[in-house]
Formats: sequence, structure tokens, C-alpha cells
Amino acid sequence: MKKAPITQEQAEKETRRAAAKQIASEGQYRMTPSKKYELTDEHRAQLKPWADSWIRSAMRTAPMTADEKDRCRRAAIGLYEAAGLTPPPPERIVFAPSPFVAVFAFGAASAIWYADAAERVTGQATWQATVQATRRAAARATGRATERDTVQATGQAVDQATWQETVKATGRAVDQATWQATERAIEQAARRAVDQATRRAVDQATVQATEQATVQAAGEATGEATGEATEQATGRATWRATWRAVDQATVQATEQATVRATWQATRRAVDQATWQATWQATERATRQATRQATRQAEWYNCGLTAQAAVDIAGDRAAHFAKSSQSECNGGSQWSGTPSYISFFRHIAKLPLDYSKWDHYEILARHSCRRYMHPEFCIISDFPVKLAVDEDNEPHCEDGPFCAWADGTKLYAVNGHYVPEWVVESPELITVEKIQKETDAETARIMRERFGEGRYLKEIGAKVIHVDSVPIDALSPAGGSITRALMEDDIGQRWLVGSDGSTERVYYMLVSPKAETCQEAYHSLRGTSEPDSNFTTILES
Amino acid sequence: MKTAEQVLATIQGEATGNSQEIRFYRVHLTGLGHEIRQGDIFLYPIEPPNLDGLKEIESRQLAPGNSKGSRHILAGKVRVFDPGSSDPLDGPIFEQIERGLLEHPEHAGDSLARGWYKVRFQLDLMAANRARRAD
Repeated sequence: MKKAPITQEQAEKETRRAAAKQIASEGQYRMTPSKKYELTDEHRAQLKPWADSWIRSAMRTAPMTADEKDRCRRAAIGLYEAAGLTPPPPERIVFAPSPFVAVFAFGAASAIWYADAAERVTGQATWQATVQATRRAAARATGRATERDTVQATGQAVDQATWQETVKATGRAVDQATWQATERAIEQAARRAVDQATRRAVDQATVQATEQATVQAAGEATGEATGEATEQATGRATWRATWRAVDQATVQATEQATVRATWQATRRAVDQATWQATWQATERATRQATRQATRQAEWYNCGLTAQAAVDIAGDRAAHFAKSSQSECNGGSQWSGTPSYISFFRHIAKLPLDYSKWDHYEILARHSCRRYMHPEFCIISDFPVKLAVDEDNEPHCEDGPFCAWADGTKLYAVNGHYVPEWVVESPELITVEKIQKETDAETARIMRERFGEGRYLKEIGAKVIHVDSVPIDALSPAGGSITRALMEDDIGQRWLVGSDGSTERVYYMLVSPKAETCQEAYHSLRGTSEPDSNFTTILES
Repeated sequence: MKTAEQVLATIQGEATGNSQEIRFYRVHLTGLGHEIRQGDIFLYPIEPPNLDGLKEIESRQLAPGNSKGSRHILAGKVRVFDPGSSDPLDGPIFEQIERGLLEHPEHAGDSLARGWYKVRFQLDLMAANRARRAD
């Protein structure tokens, strides 16, 4: 049985549960049961439609409208303010056409802001290399979508003055030794500052606070939360302790029925339906792209965006792009939690203060991934294409399963990421390439696209056994068909036969122990076939 | 000894040579112990089962999925039940209340007599291997 993918949110939740267990065992919180909140039939009937609406949102392929961008810009400002942070000016809340452009523009802009801060600390000017690279990037950004978009987004994310200074300051001296000596400390400080000041603070103030309040309210209304836990959950000194208490009081310790039911019906449903195709794929692609900026595109194609970022702000841009994952929120790709909380807000109408949460919900509904920096915020638009198979696995056999407006693309077949050329140019697949492929599943897909029959023929598969079976005693066509048992170059055995109804030849992988067509067929259907049904033509 | 190329050419020739473009229904006069195959699913007539614990389902499609090949669909008066089996090759159990059809967009149809049937799927080792690797 295939395991459901575990999302980052689920992993964090498990961690919190474990912590809650530990706290409970240490007796830090005393719980007294109270009445459980129970969903009404009317609410219960809305669970699936509500989850479905968030699934549609996560799978959306229509671009953000101007109105949505305006709402999201205001919501982003609201998030900073909810966290007690000074928001960047509206012009530094930037929209990118794809997560790739967002992540590399984030890297380049972060590097420039960081260099600006470093210069103030060290008194050293280090702009020369950056400036030259910027000029190169600007010169090269002539219509190539991802590169141009990255340069543009970076420019918008960086203060106009800083950006111009970066471009103009060619004459400044570089003191590499001083720079390197202070680089590590500043970088660590900058990363800590970014990390603590933005995403975590914002998440704590908005989604986590509301989720905690929702869980708590649902639990209190129904039953097993306690007065003390409630007090701690509402007036909290620290978020972590609050979360632990609430989590333990509701989900973990009391096995709160309402939470479980709604969680599974909304958040988990959305996660399972969308996770593979949205967050996981994008995450993996952007991570790999940052690590392999100079390598040829494989199962993703992010154009020249990575190189543009490096051209703009040097290797540090790639470094910041790589570390940007900790500043990233999935937006619509993290629709699980918003589906859960918003259910209680809009359907169950739990009387909570949603003023901070509202910003988060707007962004989850109306935008894709976002990267929040103390000085700027970059928000990605939705993809223009997103295709999945019947198991909700990313899948497309004749093009990218996911594509963004700037031309960035991801490729997968039945949930397995495959090189772009395997999908776009299957005519390039050869026996030699299949045999050299080290990823077994990729090799299998290549072979499937190459054609099992063609493969068996070209490698000169070993014919183990051939027989003949009647088509169907009642068939007006009458006659018989030939079937064969063959062994390929890696020891797999295949039963090959045809079907007059479909006019196709079928290649069925069978037990490697099968020595005859009859045994092979037996291994597929789990029952034996009457002896009179076949005539042996050839045995090896 | 024939080569792979020769055997494959024979099988390919038969695939188109035995074309069943003229659609027909196979009319089954079933009894216990008979087997009815339609593509990659098998039907076995069975004694009326104990329905305790069996969940009736609305779908009349006997194989899961949205692909063309999975559209083995019952027509007529029929009741379909989830067998609650852990064996992935076990399909639904159904009662053909009166003679009806099992239809498919590609395969010949089957006219089924009244009675109870259980469905078994053919093992797809490639899919099973793929799922195992994904785990």
C-alpha cells in the first residue's frame, strides 16, 4: 500500500505532538475535561465541499488578477504588521511569474541588501564585482523570459537607491581580506535576523495563532480542553508552550473527535490531493536548481533565472536563494491548514478574532509561494498548467506536468520526475540510454515510451516459451492467438500476447520463475488455466 | 528456434488479423465454476453471499481508475458491494438481479445471467513494482 506523502506541516505537527506528550508526562499542564464541540449535520455536509474548494485553489492555473495582486500586497503588509514588524514599502512587495524567478530574485536581492549592510558594518566597498555582473546581466536580459524576470524582480525588491548605487559604484575599492574576515559573522547574523524576523514571526502571529485558537475553540466547545490549558492557550507567554498545551489538550490528549474529523476531511484531504503535484515538486525543483545552477536542466527547466541571479549579485545570490527555503511560505501550495482553519471561520463560525489570520488566508487563496524578507517580499503567481494522474500524482506524458507563464517547467510521469527530454523528445530514447540510466524507475519509463516490443526486439530477448490459445469459443472470429514468454536483458520475464478487441499487443511483466506461458499467465491471475485451453508451439 | 523478432511479428500480425471490429456480445449461461474474462478482469459466479458487513456501493464500474481500459461497466438491474477484502486482486461482488450487460469501450460485451458474481483483477506486476519503489 502506498504511503501518503508527509508534508512539512504534518512533520511539524508530529513534532509538536511529541513535545506535547513529553510536557504532559512531566506534569506541566493539568487537564480537566469539558464538553466536546460537535459538528452539526449541516456543518458536516460542508466538509468535503470546503476541502474541494481549497483543492481547486491549490490546483489553480489561472493567473492572479490585478485586483488579487492588490489584495495580496495589502495582505502581505498585514502579515508584517501582525507580527509587529515594519512592512517594506508597497513597491518592494513584488510579484514574480514563477517560484523559480521568485527564489532567485530573492537570492539576488538578499545578497544586495546583505552587502549593503555589510558595507555599513565593515566600511568596505565590495561592489565592483557585483556591478560588473549586474551590467552583464542587464545586457543579457534581452527577451529571455526567466532571466529578464529575475533581473526585474530583483530590481524591484531592492531599494531603488541601493540598486542604482550597485550599478554605479564601479570605482570603489574592494578589500577582499577584510570582507572575508567579516563575511561569515555578518552572514550568520543576517540569516538569523531574516529567519527570526519574518516568516516565523509572521507565521506565529497569524496562522499558528489562529490554528491554535481554532483547535482550542473547537475543543472547548465540545469537550475535553481544560480551563488551565485554555488560559495558557489564550494568554500565552510563548507560542511554543501555547501550542503544546492546546495541542495536547485537544488533538493529542483528548483525541478530540471534531478536530480529527475536520482535519481529515479538510486539511489532510487537501494535502494529499495536492502535495505531490504542487509543493513537493516545486520545492524539490527549486532546491535542485539552486544547487545546480550551472548544470543542464533535468526534470525541471528554469531557464536562465539562476544564472541571472548569480550575474546580478555573485555567488552569494545562489547561497541566499538556497537558504530562502526557510523564508518561504507555500501560499496556495500549503492549502491544508487554511482549509482547516477557514472551515471553522466561515462554516462553523467559531467566534474568534480572525483579524490577523485574514491576511494569511487571503494570500493562501489568491497567490502561490512567497518569500518574506525584512526589506522586501516576493510573491509567485500560479502556474499556467498543472496536470496529475488519477492518483493525484504529478503526471503528463506529452509535456510538462507543471508550467509557469515565464516558461519554467517541471516534468513527471505517474509521480516520478523524469528528464525533460524523455517527455519532450522520446525519439531520442535508445536502448543504450535506457541501459545506462541508473534510476530504475526512470529507465522503466524510458523503456515504456520506447516501446516494450521494440525494446525486446532490439535487445534480442530470449524466447523462453511459445504457445497458442483459442480466442474465445463463443467468438464469431474464432481461431487462436499466439503468446510468448520472453526474458529481457535484466532477467525480467514478459508474457506477450494480443487482444483482437483492442488490436493491441500486451507486454505483461510476470514472475521470473515462470517457465511456460501457462505458468506466466497463472502468476498474473492467481488461478490455473485448464490444460485444454492451449497448445504448445515452442519450448526452449 | 524462432527469434524474438519473429515471434513478435507473429503476435503483432494476429493482433490486427483477429480484429473484432464487428461488435458482439457473448451470452453467458453461467454456472458455478465458470469463468468469464473481459480484458484484464475475471468474473466468477458465486453462491449468494452473507451480506452482513458488506457495504453497497453506487459505482457500476468494476475496475478502479479513470482510464479507458478500466471502464468495465455493468448495465441493468444490479447491486454492487465492496467485499472489504485486503487482497488487492479482489474486486467488487455484485448481484445481477436480472440478465444484464457488462460493457467496455474496447472489449466485446458480456451478457450476464441472473445471479451473484465476484470480480478478480489480473495482477499488474509493473504497477505493483512501481508502488513498492514509491514506498
